Amino acid sequence: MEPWHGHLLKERVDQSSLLIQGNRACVLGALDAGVRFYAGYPITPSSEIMEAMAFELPRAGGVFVQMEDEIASICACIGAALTGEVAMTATSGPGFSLMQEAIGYAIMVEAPLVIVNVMRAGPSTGRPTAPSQGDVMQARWGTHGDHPAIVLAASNVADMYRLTMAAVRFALRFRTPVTLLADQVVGQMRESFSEELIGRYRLTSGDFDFTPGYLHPDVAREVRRPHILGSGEHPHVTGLFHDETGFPTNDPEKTDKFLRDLYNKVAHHRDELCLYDVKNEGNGRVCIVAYGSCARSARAAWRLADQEGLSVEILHLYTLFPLPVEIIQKVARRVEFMIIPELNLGQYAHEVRKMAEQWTTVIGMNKTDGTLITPREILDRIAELVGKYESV
Amino acid sequence: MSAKTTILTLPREELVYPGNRACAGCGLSIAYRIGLKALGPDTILVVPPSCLTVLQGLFPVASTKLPCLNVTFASTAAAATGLLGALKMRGRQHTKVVGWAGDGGTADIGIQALSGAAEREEDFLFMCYDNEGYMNTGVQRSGTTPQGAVTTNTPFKGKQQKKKDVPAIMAAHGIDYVATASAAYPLDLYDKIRKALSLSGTKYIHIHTPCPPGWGFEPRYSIKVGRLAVETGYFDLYEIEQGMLRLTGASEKLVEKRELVPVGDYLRSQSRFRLLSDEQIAEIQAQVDTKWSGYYRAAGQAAAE
Repeated sequence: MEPWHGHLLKERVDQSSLLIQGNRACVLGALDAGVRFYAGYPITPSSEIMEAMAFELPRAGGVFVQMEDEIASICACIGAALTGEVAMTATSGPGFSLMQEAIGYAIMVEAPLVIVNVMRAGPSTGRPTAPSQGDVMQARWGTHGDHPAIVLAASNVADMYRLTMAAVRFALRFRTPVTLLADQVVGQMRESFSEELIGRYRLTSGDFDFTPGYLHPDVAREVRRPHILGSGEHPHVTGLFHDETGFPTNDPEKTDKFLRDLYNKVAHHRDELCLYDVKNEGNGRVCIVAYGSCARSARAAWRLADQEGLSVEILHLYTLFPLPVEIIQKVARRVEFMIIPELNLGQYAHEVRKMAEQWTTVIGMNKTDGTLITPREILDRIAELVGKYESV
Repeated sequence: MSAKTTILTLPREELVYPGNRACAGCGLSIAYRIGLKALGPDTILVVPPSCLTVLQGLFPVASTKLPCLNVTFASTAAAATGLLGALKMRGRQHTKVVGWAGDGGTADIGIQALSGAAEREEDFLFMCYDNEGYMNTGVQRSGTTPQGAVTTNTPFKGKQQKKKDVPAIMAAHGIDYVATASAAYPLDLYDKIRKALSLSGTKYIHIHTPCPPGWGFEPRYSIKVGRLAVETGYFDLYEIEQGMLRLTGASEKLVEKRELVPVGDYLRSQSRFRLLSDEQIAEIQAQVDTKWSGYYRAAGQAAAE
C-alpha cells in the first residue's frame, strides 16, 4: 500500500508569486503589517487564511492556534490583543454570528484586532461556496448596544493585501476591532498580484504607508491610555461600563461620557478612515456606487459604457463604516442617479439613500442567487434609466 | 445479548440512495448506509455542517430517505432536545431522534450542547463519525486528530497533542450506553445501534471512519485501513455499560489471540503520518502495548472470577 499525497499544501505563500489567492494575499498583508497572533476555526470560504497562517506564523516567530469554535477564536484574539500583540481571526457568516458578543466586548475593552469575514451566501449555512454581501449591516450592527464600527470591503486580491494592512493600522490606532469584508469570489479566486497593481487602485485617504512592518505613529487622541496585561501593572479589564481606572462605574455622567468617547473616536476620524476611489469624476448623469466584488463589475461596466458613448461615474468604496458621508453627498449633488449593485437585498443602498436622496435618485440593483452581478447587467440598467428619462 | 447480525439477516431496505456526493472510498458512506438500516424509517436525523451534509447531497441527488434536520454547527444535541420534548408532548415517542455529527461537531464546537443533553438524560442516540479532522473544509486538525498526523494547519511536525477521548468524556456523564465502532466493521456497528435503541436515556456511539483524501491512502483501501486500526490495537471496539468497559467484536478476539499487528503497519499506510520517525512509532507502540496489557489483565481477572 503506497501512501498518497493528494491533499497536502502544495502552494507555498510567497510574496514574489505572480498569481496568488485572495485569502493568501490577506495573510501576506497581515504578516507585513505585523500580525503575529492568529486564532481561528475552519470554515468555508475562509479556511485558506487559517491554513496559510498555520504555515507562516511559526516561522515568523508568531503563534497560531486552532480553537474549538469561533467564540473561542475571537476570545483568544482578545486575550492576545490585551498583551499588546496584533491579533487576527478570519471566518465566514455563521462564525461571524457566533463572534458577535465578543466583538462587543472587544470594542468595550478597546482591544485592537482584525476580523476577516469572507462572506458566503446566507443566512445560516446558506451556500458556503457562493459569494454574497449579506453581512454588511451585521458588520455594522451585529453586536448589541450603541458602538462604533470600522468596516472595510475588499474587491480584489490586491485589496486583500492592502486593506488587511489598513485594518491592522486602524485597529492599532483606534484600539478597536476592525472588520474586513471579502466574499467567496474575492477570497478564493487567484489573480495577478504586484506592487504595480496595488498602486493602480487609489485609496483616497492620504498617507498610507505600505512598507512591511510599518506601524501607526500614535493612537487617536480620543483613545484612553491602554491597559496592557503582563506589563507589570495590575490593570482591571471589564466589559462593564468603566472609567479611566478600568474599574466598573454606575455613575450616569461617566457612563454617558464613556459611550460617547467610544463612538466619537471613530466618528470624528471619518476623513482618515473613509477609503474610496472616484473614477471619471464629474462626468455623466449616473454614478455607480459599489464595493466588494460588485465594484469589479462596476469598473468593467464603466469601460463598456464608455464604448457605448455613455459617460458614467464610479464611486468605489473601500470603507463602508464609518459611513463616507462627505464623498457620497458630494457625488449625490452632481448626478441624477446613483446605482448601487449589491449581492444582498439593498443593505448599503438603504444607508446611501438616507444620506443622498434629497439630491439624487438612489437605485438598488440586487442579486441574491449566489452569482455575481455582471457588467452587462449594470450597463443595461444604466441604459434603461438614461434612455427612459431622455424620452420623457 | 441477541444473536449477531450477519449479512444474510441485515435488512434489505436501503434508506440511503446510491450515487451520493461522498468521496470515493468514504468510510462515512458505509457507516451511514448500514447505520440507517439499523435506525429504521421512523427516525428523525439531526446533522450539523459536516461531510455528512455533503454526502446527503444537493437536490435532486439527495441521498437520504429519512427526515433530516441540518442544524447549525454547535447545536446538534440542543436541537435534538427540542425535537424530543415536542414529540413527547405530541404523543409521538415512537419516533427516534438521532444526532449524527462529525468529530468537530461532537468533540469541539458541539461538545457543550452534547454534554448538556447527556446531563439532562435526554432520550436519544448521538453518533459521532470520527474521520479525525475537518475534512469537509479541506483537512484541518480537530480535537480527535491523532498525535503526529499532518493536516493543512499542522504542516511541519504533525499534530503535537493527544487525541481527545470523547467516549471516555461521555462515559463520565454516567450515561447508560457508550460504544465505539468502526466503518470497517459495519455489522458490529449495526448491532451496537440496535442495542442503543433498546435502551432509554442518552446513548453515544463513536465510529472510526477512514477518510482517503484526508488520511492519505487510496480509496480502495478504506476497509483495510479501518481494520488495521483495530487489528493493531490502535483503535478499540468496546462498550461501556454501568461504568464497565468491555471489548467487543474484533477487539475482543484480539484479547483471546494476544497477538497485535505492529502499529507501524497502520501508521505507515497513510501519508498523514509520514513525519513520524521510527522512534516515535516505537513510542506509540509502547503506549498501545501498555493499554493492551491492561486489557489482558482485566480479561485474566474476569476469567479467574
